Amino acid sequence: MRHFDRSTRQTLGVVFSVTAMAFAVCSSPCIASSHSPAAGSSHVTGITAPLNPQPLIAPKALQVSIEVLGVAIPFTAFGIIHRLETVPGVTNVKFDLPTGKATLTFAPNVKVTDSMLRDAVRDASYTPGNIVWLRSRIVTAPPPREAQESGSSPDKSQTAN
Amino acid sequence: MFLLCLVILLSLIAAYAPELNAAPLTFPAAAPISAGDITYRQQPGFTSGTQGHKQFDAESVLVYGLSHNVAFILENNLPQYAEQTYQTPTVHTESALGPGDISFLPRYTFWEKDGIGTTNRLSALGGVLIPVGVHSGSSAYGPVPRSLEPGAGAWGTKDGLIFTRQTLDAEVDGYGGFVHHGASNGYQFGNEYFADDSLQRRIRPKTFSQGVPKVETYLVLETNFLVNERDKESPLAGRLSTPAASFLTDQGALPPAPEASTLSDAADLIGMTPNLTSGGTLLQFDPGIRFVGLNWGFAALAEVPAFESVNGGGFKHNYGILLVYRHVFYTKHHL
Repeated sequence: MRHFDRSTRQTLGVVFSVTAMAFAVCSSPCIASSHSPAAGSSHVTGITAPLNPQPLIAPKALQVSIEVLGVAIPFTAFGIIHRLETVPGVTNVKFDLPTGKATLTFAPNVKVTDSMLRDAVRDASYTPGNIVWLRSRIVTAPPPREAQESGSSPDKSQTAN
Repeated sequence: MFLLCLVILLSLIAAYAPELNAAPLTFPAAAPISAGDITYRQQPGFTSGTQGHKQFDAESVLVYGLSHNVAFILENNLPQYAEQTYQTPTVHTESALGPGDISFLPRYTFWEKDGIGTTNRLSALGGVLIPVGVHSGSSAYGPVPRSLEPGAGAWGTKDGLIFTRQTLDAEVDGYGGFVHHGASNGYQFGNEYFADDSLQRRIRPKTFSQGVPKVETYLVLETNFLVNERDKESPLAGRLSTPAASFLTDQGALPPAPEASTLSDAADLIGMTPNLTSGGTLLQFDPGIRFVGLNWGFAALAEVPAFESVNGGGFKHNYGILLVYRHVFYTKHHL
């Protein structure tokens, strides 16, 4: 095995740390490419801030399916249903015991993140699995009058089914 | 401060409210409980034994989810009534009625493996037995035998390991541990070593494809294995807490003197004399049926002794009956 001297080890350590931090930043969901206006994906992994500088207008109710691992009997399903009902903006929770999937419906104009859902599941003493946003409809505001007169059109790529 | 008040309040509630039991019917489980949830179980039971022994318990258990992996368990017998027929000095029946001691048992889940519709949990349980129960009754024949009293009269500890596996169709639980009783007023109950198992199998609905069934029905089979060491009492206390010293064997002879097989045994015997009619080994099977809803459960269980060895002339179990009801409440207060 080759042995490195002290200065070499220090240099390698700095390089490794910087590389790890850069990797962590680039893989952060906050700046994931799927949130890009140009992506037009029907699945978003969470809405932490308006995707567009223009304000959102009356988005339709959101619905998300989250897999909950560890629920096996109705008695324990009670705890996870109650816990998911405490997530801000939740209007309805349905739980399917054979698949372990909870379907949450949110009120309009609600900002909710994947981490909020995962924390609620862990709080209930279970393990969160996959999160799939089933329905979201984000409609951007009409462009300002000046933009319309100049011929520019609103960005429609954020509208998703 | 709020959590401290809650623990004290739960202790008071458990002391004066019927007890409830955990997921298996005769011992606690490592089953998940959400942070902020409170499970309340009430379990009245009746036990019949030889020598006219009859015992009625109304055990209550409160389980509070402090966090996702820490729960507090409070257990208490309220009330407990027991009676037994004794031969000396004349044939008579002694009885005792009152609340039992409170068990405060924090439970920590240190390992879990979850899947879709399954969970495996391993928890450590360790706590104290709080001597609030009745333990110093008397009758026309002198002090009531301590074995009949609801309370131990001394602080104790209870430690154990619990394993729980739940699937959509069945549940398996295992519980093993140790109970140590302190000495009080010249009397000390013997240490207990126990190993309990529970197997539950869903029979209704036979299958379901979606949603959450409103009610599930399970067949239950539990086993309880208990080794109870002899109690000890001090002759210096000047009282016969059980009929040991005046109890005659079946042959009409006085019980033999205690033996000290090791130096440590001899040291334990100084000042404390083993109660020769206490302690023994018990293995019993508990078949039953259980109904489970979204936030409630009801069960009925029979306790059938399969093997029992008692020391001296102590009573033996004939049979027992348990009824269990539990309910889940939800609060927002947790860590």
